[in-house]
Amino acid sequence: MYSLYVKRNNFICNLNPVTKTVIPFSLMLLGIISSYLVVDLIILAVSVLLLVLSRLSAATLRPYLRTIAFLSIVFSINWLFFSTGTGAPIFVIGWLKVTEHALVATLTGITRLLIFILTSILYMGTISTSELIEGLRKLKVPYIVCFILMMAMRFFPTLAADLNMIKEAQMSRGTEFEKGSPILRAKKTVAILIPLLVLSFRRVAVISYGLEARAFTPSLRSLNRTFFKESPMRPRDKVIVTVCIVAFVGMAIYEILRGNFGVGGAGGVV
Amino acid sequence: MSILSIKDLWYRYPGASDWTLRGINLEVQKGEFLAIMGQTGVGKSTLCLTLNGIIPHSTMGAFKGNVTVDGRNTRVTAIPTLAKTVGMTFQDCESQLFGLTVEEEIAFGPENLQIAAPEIRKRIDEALEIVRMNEYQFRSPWELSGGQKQRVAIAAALALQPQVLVMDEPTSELDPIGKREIFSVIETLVEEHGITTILVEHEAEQIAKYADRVALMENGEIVMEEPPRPFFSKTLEQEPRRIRCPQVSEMAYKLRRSGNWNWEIPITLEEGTKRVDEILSSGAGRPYKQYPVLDSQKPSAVIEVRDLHYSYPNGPEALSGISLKISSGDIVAIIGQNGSGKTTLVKHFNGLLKPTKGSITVAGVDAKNRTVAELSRSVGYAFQNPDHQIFCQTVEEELSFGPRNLGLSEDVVKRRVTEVLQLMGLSHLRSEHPLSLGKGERKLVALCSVLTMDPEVLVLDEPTTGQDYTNTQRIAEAIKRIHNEGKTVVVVTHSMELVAAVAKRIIVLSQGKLLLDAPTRQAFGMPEILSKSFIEPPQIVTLSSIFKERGFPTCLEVDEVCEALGHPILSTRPANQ
Repeated sequence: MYSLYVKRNNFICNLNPVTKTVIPFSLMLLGIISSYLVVDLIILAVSVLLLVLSRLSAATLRPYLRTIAFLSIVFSINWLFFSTGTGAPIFVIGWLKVTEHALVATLTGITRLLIFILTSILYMGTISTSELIEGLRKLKVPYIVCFILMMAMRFFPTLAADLNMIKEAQMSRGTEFEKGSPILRAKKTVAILIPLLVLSFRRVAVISYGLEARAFTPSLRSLNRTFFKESPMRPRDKVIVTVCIVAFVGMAIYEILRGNFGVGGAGGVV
Repeated sequence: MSILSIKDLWYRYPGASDWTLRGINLEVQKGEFLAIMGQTGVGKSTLCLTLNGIIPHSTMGAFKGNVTVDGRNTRVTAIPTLAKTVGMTFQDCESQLFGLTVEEEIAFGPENLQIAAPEIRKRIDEALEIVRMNEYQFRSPWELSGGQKQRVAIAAALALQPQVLVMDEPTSELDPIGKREIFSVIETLVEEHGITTILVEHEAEQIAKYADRVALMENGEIVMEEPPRPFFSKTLEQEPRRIRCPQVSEMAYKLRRSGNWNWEIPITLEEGTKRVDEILSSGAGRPYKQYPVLDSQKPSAVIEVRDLHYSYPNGPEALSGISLKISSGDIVAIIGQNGSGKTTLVKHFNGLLKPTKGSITVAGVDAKNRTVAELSRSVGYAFQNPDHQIFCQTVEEELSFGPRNLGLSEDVVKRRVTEVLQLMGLSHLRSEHPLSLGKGERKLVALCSVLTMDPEVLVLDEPTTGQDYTNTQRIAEAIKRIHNEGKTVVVVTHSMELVAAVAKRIIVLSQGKLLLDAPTRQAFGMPEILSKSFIEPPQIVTLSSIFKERGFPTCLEVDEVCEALGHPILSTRPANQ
């Protein structure tokens, strides 16, 4: 309900969690550091290809497509007409002027935006929450951080259900959360926040007792536990991770040598 | 051989002025099944937490005495070491599961003990086998029902291969199917695996069936330890009685007091049935007193539901074609398993949900076009968990919140608060902080806070779930008082004893459809229909139904059976169903 992931049997979904973590992050990073629109377009094409291969359903993607379209239009207008870049104007309508630089900047910006959104969807849509934690853990994120993330994911639906129930309970007592001035409305949320806090504190007490009853001893220094499920790192995983790392390191070195490292926003060149 | 020994145990929570545990002494033998009963707040859960060292290691506070588990003193043994010996499950089935899938949940404990992966796999399979949940191993905990969550919690505790399993009220938040699932697992554990079990429970009938010994806690002390039969016999003599006893025991006790029961007190339905059979065979009580089935439904309906359909967004149909009428001044119980559509139905009464198809009329107006705030003037809705709504500094403020939202003047609000507190006998709590009150009182305050809005209809969602015997009695009493004030009461509940005690009509829902709508006595006389929805009538109703063919009436309460047997009990309430 709160996750994009649905278990599917295909090449992308069957990869090791480490590979499924490395692919989207390396694509994002490549998109950031590359200063060529054509490279960004290639990365975008790869992202789309991977999304197609992962066979995410159209119904899952639909709400995101609307967001993508909305953001693309807003950013395009901003970058196309209001960027302060130089270069020859391509066309002028009244006081609106579009320069060549602005056009390139807009195309690069939109491409990067799409890379960000699509790779995020690829990540969340192909990795289960358990795999996500496993992937991060194997990428040397400290277990305690992974554990906190796991608890947040586990209890998010519970918290959301509590919130909904509290809202309904207070509405049943005649509270109209949508009515009144902004200050009055803010005041009304006290009737939601206090029960939510009280419930959460009570829950935390049970959770901590439950954790201890199951021999959990959190430690920042040592990993004093075993893991029963370790996904195998197969040759295909090793090849893909190596390709991702080589591409990223190669691109980084190239950009550093060109003195172009750290180009942000829409400052790329063709 | 004693596996658990508690010697003169005292414990006081940090900041508390009183001791929660006061000189507990207890020995538990290997393979024994010990049940602990007692009212809410007497220290049962605190006692459980001392068994695996959470108290004193993880809590501050004052700790005196010794707890020894399998030869290890909990004062000097680390919790992870004790966790290998004592497995524990808690009442709150949601918060004790941390895994993202069932198998991860069960693996969590063994992983913490640094057990190798192949061994963990083996333990997961074994534990799931015991709780019969193998096919759910890849599911997320939040997709499971309450009973399934508790079963996973038991499996997770078993995966540590403990010598002692401690279960703190595992069934108090569950529906009848969930309760049945848990007791069936407990039966397997006791009979096939012989694990030492300590169970804190209110379900007297199940305890009578399985426990070797029962301990009664009062005010931080163990005041009685006996095998079930003498335990319940002695408990019945307590005045006032503080815990539930099997209804057959209660019946025998009442008959014995009037000199009409010469056998030992029965503790199971089978024992009670055998003796009643003997009484009836001797010809006693004939002709049996008959209780007429009175239909409380009147032509005027305060709520009328016509062909109601409801589907949650992206979900299957939760209600399919419900039609019913709720008469003014009636007490109606809506029953059925979790997921049968009970709460979905009553949420239409105050507009929290709007029909996908069909219509609903509340106090003469179409609910479809009214806001929740507008409908709250006619229909009050008290949610299951009072902590979902309590937020004010004093009980008075809490009770004033609703009527103030209706725009009433301060004088009227004050008058209503006073009247409701008096009606419910809670005037002494007026200035108390509602969150500092006990579980039962918080529930009553939540109920009062809806009552001050003076609605015509009061909907109570699971009013007695998680409550002990005394609080359940208080809530049942409160419902009767509210009804006597002329209110229409709709109770959504799993407690069949509450239904038998207060409801005049029963509406049974099953998979979103109306299965039965009949006066309580008539409905309880149809066990074959109720069993379709896995509803088990109270023990005493089942007992009276067994002798239906001999002309014995369907009795709703213990006193009625005594009366039908020809021995009226003086405290009998008027038969109003």
